[in-house]
Amino acid sequence: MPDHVHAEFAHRSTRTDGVLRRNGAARIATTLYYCADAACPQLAGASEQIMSDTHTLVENAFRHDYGKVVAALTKRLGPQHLQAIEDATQQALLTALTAWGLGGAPDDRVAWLYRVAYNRALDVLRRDAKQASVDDAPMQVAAAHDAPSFAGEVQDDLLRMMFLCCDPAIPIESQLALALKTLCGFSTEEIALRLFTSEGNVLKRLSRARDVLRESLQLEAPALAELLPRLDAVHRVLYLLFNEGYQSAQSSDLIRVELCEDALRLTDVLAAHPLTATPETHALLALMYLHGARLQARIDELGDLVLLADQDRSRWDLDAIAQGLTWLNRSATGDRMSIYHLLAGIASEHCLAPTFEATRWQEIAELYQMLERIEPSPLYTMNRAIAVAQWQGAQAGLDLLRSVTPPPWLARYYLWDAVLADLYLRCGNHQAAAVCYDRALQHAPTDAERRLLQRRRDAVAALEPCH
Amino acid sequence: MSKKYLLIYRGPRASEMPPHSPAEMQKFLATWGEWKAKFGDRIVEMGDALHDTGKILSKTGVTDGPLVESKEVIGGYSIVQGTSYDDAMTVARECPIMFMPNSRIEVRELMGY
Repeated sequence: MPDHVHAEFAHRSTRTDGVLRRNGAARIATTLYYCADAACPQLAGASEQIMSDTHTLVENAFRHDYGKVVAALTKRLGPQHLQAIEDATQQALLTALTAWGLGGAPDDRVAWLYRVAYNRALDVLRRDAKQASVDDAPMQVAAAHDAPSFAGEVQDDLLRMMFLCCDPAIPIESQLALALKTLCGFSTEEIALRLFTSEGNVLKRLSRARDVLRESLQLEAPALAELLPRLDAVHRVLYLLFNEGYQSAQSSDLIRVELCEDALRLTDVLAAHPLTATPETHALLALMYLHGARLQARIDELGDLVLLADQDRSRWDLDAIAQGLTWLNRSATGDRMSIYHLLAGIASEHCLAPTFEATRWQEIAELYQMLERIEPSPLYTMNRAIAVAQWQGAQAGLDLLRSVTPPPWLARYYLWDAVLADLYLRCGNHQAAAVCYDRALQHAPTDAERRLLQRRRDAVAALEPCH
Repeated sequence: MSKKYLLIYRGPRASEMPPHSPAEMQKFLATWGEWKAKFGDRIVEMGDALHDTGKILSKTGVTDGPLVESKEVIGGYSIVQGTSYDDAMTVARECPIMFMPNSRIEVRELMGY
């Protein structure tokens, strides 16, 4: 791993807070085996939706239009005017409600919305400039032909917007909120729901992000090439976005699918552009496809969670797996081994294993060890312990897990206790298992997870000698 | 005998409307299609939306209008047919405009029929 990558991660860890801890790379790794694979309930059929369902695309059209128009206007007017741009885009959509309802939607929706929003934004900025008696707004009224009418150009704008959201001066949790707002077109209320936080908190995060954009870029939006050093941060945000959808403890399946789908859509944009189609981008895309392939097998017909070991592998989406493997292959160039390569590698091991037992656990344990070297995290160790337990026996896994002292922020993390409980159980220590299941139950974030843990806890109780 | 009625859509400008999430707006847009499907034989002309600024011509000259200050503007129109005002109202009552904030519909019978 090159030094600058170490530095990058070291830098990140200094301002790591709740978001990154809870949602960071280590967390998704957990999904592969244990509960987190179970941590995504109600997703029956999700992977088909992610990959191909046009119905969902139509439903999300307005959100996606919003993102494209904001991105195009930001390029045109500059990121310092983001608030005015978003307001204008919002109004353009409101205008479309009557105009399209009565007159029908135009062929090029984005161009239509862009024109309306541009003129509105211009009105507001001119008025503000006049009030401030500053005459430095070099703007012209948008003519019809000004609208970005080529799909490629809009994609470029979208790409540039991703990089603007990932300004290193913006804290990571604000980057994520900003991406959800501007790129995905979610309202603050919808973002709060997706990031498990209050609306007030989302507003604070957004205004912090806008403040940075206002101050850091007084002129026009920088060219994409200048922004390329931020590619790592863009990957990270897209990864978090996917992760939120893939396994955040949300109750609604639709919410999860939308997030995964948006992350995939935006990563696709990265992969389609020559400047950003790097091996890491391909690895990230591979990771998303390989995870997405297994979404629908994660719940049973009653809506309960199914552990990886118990999943019906015939329900995994073979097309998505094939896509994922193709991207993984393409990612195998260059000299940089990123966490996405390793995580996608682990996911592919699972996708290719004929059964849970016949999984190549040794390879998986080694991949986790490599992850730990790049980005040390007790959660990677936890996942390695699970793999080691399969490879060398439950006792070896338990020994490894017990050799780690979980940091304070993990103390209330239910998966840690759940994994510990499973390993104790398999080693025949039912009492310790029961204690750990109880602790895990206290902190399990969703009903589905609680039900799963309760089932296992009940099984232990049945094994325990009566007192 | 069937009569024709002009539905005049009145409401605030987009800039005066409370924000809605794109997803909500998407759902709202779909309700136009439902209205059209339900009252297809009663809707003579879907009509169109209007820009919220324009010109007012009088003997003394031309002014911009409606005024930026006006709280309510005509946002669009449609033409429906029915046997009576009551009949036209049943169509208007379910028009999506009725579900937009601070909006209302003026229903006027056309005289020429």
